[in-house]
Amino acid sequence: MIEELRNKARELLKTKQVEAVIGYQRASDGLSAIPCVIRSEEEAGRLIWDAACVYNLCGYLKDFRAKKLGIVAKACDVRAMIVLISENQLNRDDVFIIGMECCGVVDEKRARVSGRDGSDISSADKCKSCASCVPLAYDCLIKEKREKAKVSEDADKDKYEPVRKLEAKSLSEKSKSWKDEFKRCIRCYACRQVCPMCYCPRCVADQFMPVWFSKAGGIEGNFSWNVARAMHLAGRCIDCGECERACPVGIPLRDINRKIEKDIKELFGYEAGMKTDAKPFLACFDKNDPEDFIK
Amino acid sequence: MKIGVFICHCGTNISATVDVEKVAQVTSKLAKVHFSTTYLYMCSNPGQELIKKAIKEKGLDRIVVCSCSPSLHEKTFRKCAEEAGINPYLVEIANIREHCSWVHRDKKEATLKAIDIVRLAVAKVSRDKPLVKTYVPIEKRVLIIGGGISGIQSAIDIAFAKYPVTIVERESSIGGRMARFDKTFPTLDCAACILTPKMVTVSQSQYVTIYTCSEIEEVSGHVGDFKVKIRKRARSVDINKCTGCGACYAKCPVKVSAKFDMNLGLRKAIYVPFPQAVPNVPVIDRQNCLWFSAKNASGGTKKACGLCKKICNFGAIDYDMQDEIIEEKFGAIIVATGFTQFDHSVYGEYGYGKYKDVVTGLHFERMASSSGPTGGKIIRPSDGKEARDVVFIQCVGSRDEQKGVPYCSRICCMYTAKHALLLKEHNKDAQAYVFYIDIRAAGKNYEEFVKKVQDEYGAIYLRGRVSRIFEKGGKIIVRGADTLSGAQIEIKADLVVLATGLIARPETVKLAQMLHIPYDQNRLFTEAHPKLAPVETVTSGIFLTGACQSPKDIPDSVATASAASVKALGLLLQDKLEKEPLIAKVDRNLCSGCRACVVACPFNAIDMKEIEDRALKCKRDVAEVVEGVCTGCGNCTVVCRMSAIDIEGFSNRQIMEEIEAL
Amino acid sequence: MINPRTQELKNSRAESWEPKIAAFLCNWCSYAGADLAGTSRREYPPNIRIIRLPCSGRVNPLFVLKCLMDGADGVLIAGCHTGDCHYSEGNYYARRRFAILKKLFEFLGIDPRRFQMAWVSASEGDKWVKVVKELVEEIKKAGPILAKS
Repeated sequence: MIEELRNKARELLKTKQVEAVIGYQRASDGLSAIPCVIRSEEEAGRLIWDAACVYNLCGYLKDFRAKKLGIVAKACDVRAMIVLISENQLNRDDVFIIGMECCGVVDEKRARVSGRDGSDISSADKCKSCASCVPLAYDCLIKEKREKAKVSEDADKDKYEPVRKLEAKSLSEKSKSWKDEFKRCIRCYACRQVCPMCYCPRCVADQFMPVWFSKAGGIEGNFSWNVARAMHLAGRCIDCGECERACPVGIPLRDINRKIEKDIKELFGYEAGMKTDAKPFLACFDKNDPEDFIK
Repeated sequence: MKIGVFICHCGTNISATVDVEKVAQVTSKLAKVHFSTTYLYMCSNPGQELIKKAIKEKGLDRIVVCSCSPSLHEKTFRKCAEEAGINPYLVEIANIREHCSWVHRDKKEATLKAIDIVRLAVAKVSRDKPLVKTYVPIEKRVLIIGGGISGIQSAIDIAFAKYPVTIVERESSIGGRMARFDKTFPTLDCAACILTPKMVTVSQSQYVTIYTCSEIEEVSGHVGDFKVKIRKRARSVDINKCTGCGACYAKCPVKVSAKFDMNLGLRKAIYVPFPQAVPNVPVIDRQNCLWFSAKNASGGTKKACGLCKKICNFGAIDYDMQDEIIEEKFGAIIVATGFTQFDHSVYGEYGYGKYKDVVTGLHFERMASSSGPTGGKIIRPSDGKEARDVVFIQCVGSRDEQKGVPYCSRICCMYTAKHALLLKEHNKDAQAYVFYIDIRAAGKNYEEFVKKVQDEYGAIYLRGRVSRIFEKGGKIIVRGADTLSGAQIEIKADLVVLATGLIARPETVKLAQMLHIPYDQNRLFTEAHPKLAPVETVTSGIFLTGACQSPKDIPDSVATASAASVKALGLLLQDKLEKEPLIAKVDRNLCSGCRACVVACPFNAIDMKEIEDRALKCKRDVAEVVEGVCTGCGNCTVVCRMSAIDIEGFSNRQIMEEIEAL
Repeated sequence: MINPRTQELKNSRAESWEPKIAAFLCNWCSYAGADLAGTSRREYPPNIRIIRLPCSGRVNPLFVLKCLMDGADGVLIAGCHTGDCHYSEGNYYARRRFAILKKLFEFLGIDPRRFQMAWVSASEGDKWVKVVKELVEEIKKAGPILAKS
């Protein structure tokens, strides 16, 4: 599979179909994978592919505006690209998607401490409920060879069960637990920096006219930031889980994202990142949208 | 920044519940507030002079007026500020009357709330920006929806001023309700005699276009530039070829009951609704026409009729005619869609509408008309015999909150009196009985008219309700009470005429939504101000006339029609239209070009534009507002995650400042 | 944790607490409906502070957030009934937005009574009064927002 990927990259660079290929290379620790940009055929040997290739690389695409690029992409990464295309941030013709059939990536956080506690690192939470190993769109597909890629065993289960459990808690429990989570937020904005959907020239959190919410640490400001982030991802988040992975204080951000994702799917039948010509969820409406909450 | 706060007593409307002096004293200490005072009537001339003087003497650069709702005097105070040399958009209104003094009784609470309201307004004004009005061109044409007497009068007035005007009428002829009346109160001119010349005037005017058999399909745009889609239903007769000779309907073999005549008479399947129709061009009723029923019958095996086509010497009959959608632009719209009659079948006491000899006023009009289905005879529809004893019942549907509408329909007392008079004129032996609750005859010569009907025409007026109506021995028995004498009354009548109220047409809601104008709980269109702007709507460029706004008689309909025409002409006479600058604005540096605003704008007022970004050294797309089209609704500002787009006058900074001051 | 302004508010309101409620009203229907309540002299509790906006579609979720974080005990958004929007569609967008926000708030432990929405037309002065009365009652039951944080 890796050789196939490298050959494809060489071919794309040689025939000048792309100016560069964005992919993964081995990190100096010899285990994890980090992003790399391959600009020549000779460099293509650096490319790797395995369960360590956790990152969503779409974020790098905007650094190469209007250049033809190749990108190594999993199913979830491609959904992010679909949102970016629908939001006029990416031109489909400017990108050559090397689609990777994917059996799930490792849980990076647990992998860091593996060996110490011996816990299962085989797949990240987001992969456990993932139903698609083949990307929705690609220009070439590199198939899994070592074993037939299969949909995660848990995929049939209610994907939103963890969210439902949280919903079922009492108001005061929810209030307390989220306050405890948000208290820890250090407003480093790693969640924003890593998010493929966060491309605003200047984030509301950084604006001064007006100041949308307190920039200082403190529960009000932290709460506001996390709600603002979540609302700005409503109908756009494709649950790549990068925000939660990047969060240095371990706030369960995916729980919030998935809560909104669930509501949008159940109430409005909308899913992000499925069609390139989809209208943004919050920029459209249906005359029959539910309004039982309105007096 | 020097903010001035001006607090109005509004006589005692505000000061009775709000301690205005306290408000002045507390708000004068707010940051940036330089001056604060009260006055008895701030909107009066001396009040405005006081503001102007304070602006000049105290060097104020923005003001807050604490008074009534901004819908009433925001414009007044903006103009006042402008005259004193302040940009008119540096003025905010604190609504301490409708939202405070009129809804609270406790003076302490109301005063505290008023202070809060003023604080919010001060916060907002501190973030106001001077704005400059923009101007948009005006399409110098008027659309009139509805071709009744109101629509016709409006068209005549506008055409007189030599501006093009288009009437869109649903029926095959203009004329509306009035064309169906016999005589008109209180002067008893014949309706046709005074309406027909007006219909001819509009039809012959070079400035008037009439679309009959037509309806409004879609309205977009805004004052000065309404884009209207009109559906012209297939008439099946070519209006340009037809000469109105009438050979077709003389020959047509199909007879159906005539809606125009309240189903008291018959018409053909190809017909003109009444002899004076404008245009005098027949229409084919495709439901009943043999040619169409044969064509629609399975396989088309039935032999088609086609007589009208054969007889027409001018080739005007066109069975293949299709509905046509035309799109036109107008600068102003006058709504003249009129009314419909209340359906009395909800009343058990009046026989649920099942007795043939219990009819409505409009039936009576058709019978009384010499060109009507009975040739001017007042008959019993059940057996065609001339009616002698006729009972009139007023307030059917009107003034009845349970089953009808809560309001008085205004014209029923008068038309019933007229009917009682006409009855006597048509048949000297006849006797009219009128059951009424109150007589409302407030109009020039109206009371005199009712008196005359009672005194000279011997109509018997009985104050009271009818409790039951039933058929017995070929007569209609009417039971009721005369509350003045306290007597129970039973009348053996030949005919009962119900004065059914005027109600909104069922399609008004759909039309209101198309035009973005409000309607009330009775589905009557709402005027911009009940007293001071009775023919305007809150949507600028759209005006109301006639009974679609509230029940009106002919003089009132004509008066409001001319009033609406003047308002529309006033618009058209401008070179260009002043437009409030409260519209969206894009900060290109913040815009990511994600197109969410373009998708979400209800008016298609946002385009994408490619610009050269020097910093990024590449071309990129940004949003651009089409100023003439933007209405300032602000939906774009919320779909924009980066707040690159904002609304002047209701900007993010202004609103956030208000929230801060809560 | 709490900024000085809100701390001050907290102290000032500790004893005789009366809820403070922010209300965003669209200019064409709900603001006019509240005006009508005034012209018809209908009494209602004084706890509401009205912010006039062109349309319910102008209400940014961040405004609501700011209100609640700055110490408003409740937030109301009122607009035209669907189909009656002066801008034809603004309230449809608002409905969708706030359906999500309301659910999210509840998920994060904010009492759903604190954030409500209502359709109030220009002719519904009575409905406005009813909405305000009910809202104030409910927020009184929910208690002061700062006491909960």
